[in-house]
Amino acid sequence: MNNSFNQSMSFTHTWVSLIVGWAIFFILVTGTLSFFMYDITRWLEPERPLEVNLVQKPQYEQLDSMFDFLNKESPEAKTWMIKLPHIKNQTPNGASKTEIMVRSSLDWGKYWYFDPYTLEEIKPTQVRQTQGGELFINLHHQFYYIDKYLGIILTGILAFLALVVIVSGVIIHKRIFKDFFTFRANRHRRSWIDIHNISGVLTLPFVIMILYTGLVYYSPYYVTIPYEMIKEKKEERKEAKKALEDNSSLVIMERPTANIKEMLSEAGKKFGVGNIAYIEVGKNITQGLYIDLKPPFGSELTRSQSADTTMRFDGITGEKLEIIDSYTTGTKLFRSLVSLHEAWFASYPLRWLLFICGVMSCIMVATGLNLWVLKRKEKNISFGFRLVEKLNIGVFIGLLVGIAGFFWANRLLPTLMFERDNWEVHILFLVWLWLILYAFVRPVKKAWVESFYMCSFAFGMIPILNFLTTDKHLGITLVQGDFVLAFVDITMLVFALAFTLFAYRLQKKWAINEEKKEVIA
Amino acid sequence: MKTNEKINLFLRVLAATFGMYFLSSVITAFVLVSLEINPEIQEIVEAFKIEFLIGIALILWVFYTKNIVRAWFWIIFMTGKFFALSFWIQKGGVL
Repeated sequence: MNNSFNQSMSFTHTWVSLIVGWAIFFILVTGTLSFFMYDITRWLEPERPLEVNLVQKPQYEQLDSMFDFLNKESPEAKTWMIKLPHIKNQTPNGASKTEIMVRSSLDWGKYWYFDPYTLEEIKPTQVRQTQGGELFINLHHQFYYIDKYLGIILTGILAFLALVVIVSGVIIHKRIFKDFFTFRANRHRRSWIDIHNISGVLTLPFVIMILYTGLVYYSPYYVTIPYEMIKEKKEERKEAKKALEDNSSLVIMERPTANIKEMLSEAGKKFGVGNIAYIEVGKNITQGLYIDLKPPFGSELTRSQSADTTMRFDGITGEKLEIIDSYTTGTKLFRSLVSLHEAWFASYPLRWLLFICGVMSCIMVATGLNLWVLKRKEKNISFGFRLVEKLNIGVFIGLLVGIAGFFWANRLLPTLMFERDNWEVHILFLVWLWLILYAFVRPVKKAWVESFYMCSFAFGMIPILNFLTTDKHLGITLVQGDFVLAFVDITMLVFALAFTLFAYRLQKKWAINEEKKEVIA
Repeated sequence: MKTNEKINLFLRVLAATFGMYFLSSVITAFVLVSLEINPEIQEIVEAFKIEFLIGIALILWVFYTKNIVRAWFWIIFMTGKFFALSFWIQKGGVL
């Protein structure tokens, strides 16, 4: 199309990124927040108790008690599932260390929670109506106000195009390593290019991983032809395999009678003491009643059941049983890619690293689109140019203010308000829309600076509102040691500070430029 | 932008969307159907979702190539060829 390969790649990089940039920014911001989805849920439901290391009964006593409960409550289930307190146990209400969570195959949607010390059932806490941190993961993969499946397909198309932008971007950057260390401050457009390059190069492995695994996540929705063609034979193979290893569950469940303490100590030798937190009880034809002891769900990348990830014991005799590795390498690979995207396997430090990579990739997108404007500023005054220039301000900063608005709404809306959870989200979008309109009515430079100040104010106020409206503020969370919750507030303050610095710097720089212009005039 | 250039760009965008979708799908189908003899490897390749990698390469190509009409010819020809081959292999190599 253009004269050289590089030029055509530059063309693709510039124009495809202009098409997908804003939407990808939205997906990246909401996705980055989703790394801490359950922790955000906990912040949004301040009625829940703090997650501090409480005294708890030994694991075997907890399990014995849970078996008694399930035997009474759900004897006809095929499988029982118990999650013991562990920091890596993801539960929908975010309580991982202070509660035992129990479910049965009769109704996977029903959760029972128990106190790990008294072993008594915890009645559901009355919490404010909110969509919680789950909102961000929903916004991330299916948008809002549109059909779920349409949203999934749209995000897929956007992620795919973003991958095209990344690949073409790598091709046009010949000096990856040099860019890595190059930052020329106070050089106007040059400085923006350098920030774009540095954030791009630093987060390159992260961005490729996250976009690609994101595509793999919902791939059956996107490309169907090849899978339809092999579907029939695959089904045949599956049926044949099923017939060969008849492992079907028996319907009548029993309460395990074997010594669970010995099982726990043996499994602890393999997975680490105190690291067993996910227990499944079932019954099949070949092995009878069995108990599976595993580390928290999602700790293993493959999320499969094999001798490496699970230890199986006979529920009556306590003997160690063989685990049939029923997952093929292909399935494990697919699950590993999905795990990489969700980052459940990651410990908190690694999750923070992923969060920082997410923030940097948002910076890369925002600076990239800003560069599009800067490159055309002197020679272009068309409607399209003005539109992009204004939308950059409104979409990027407006979304951040909107998210802060969501957190404000969570604290300020009356707890008994009708459709409160939906209104929290409406406020997010209304604030965003308002910021977009604001960018259109203000001169460009003023819009940038004022939007940044607004953003900083919005984020800075979140911990203060939390302090004024709840008893789960920094003064309590830091003192009592619920650092995960405290870090939500601290992160808001850090963002507020960063936006203030940025706004102040922009304001100062533009003021100096204006002065220079006046002197010259 | 002149009319010729507009048509040229439109053809490229079409090739990068519909052309890319069908060609990458049938190439993937061909690879997967060919691997039917070894289901283990077939599942590994399936999990990698190679259609996305092929798709990216195709998009970059349609925006780079000098002659988009010729590129369209190749896209249609290859799509037909790979579809026919996949179909043929799926039927056991006999017509």
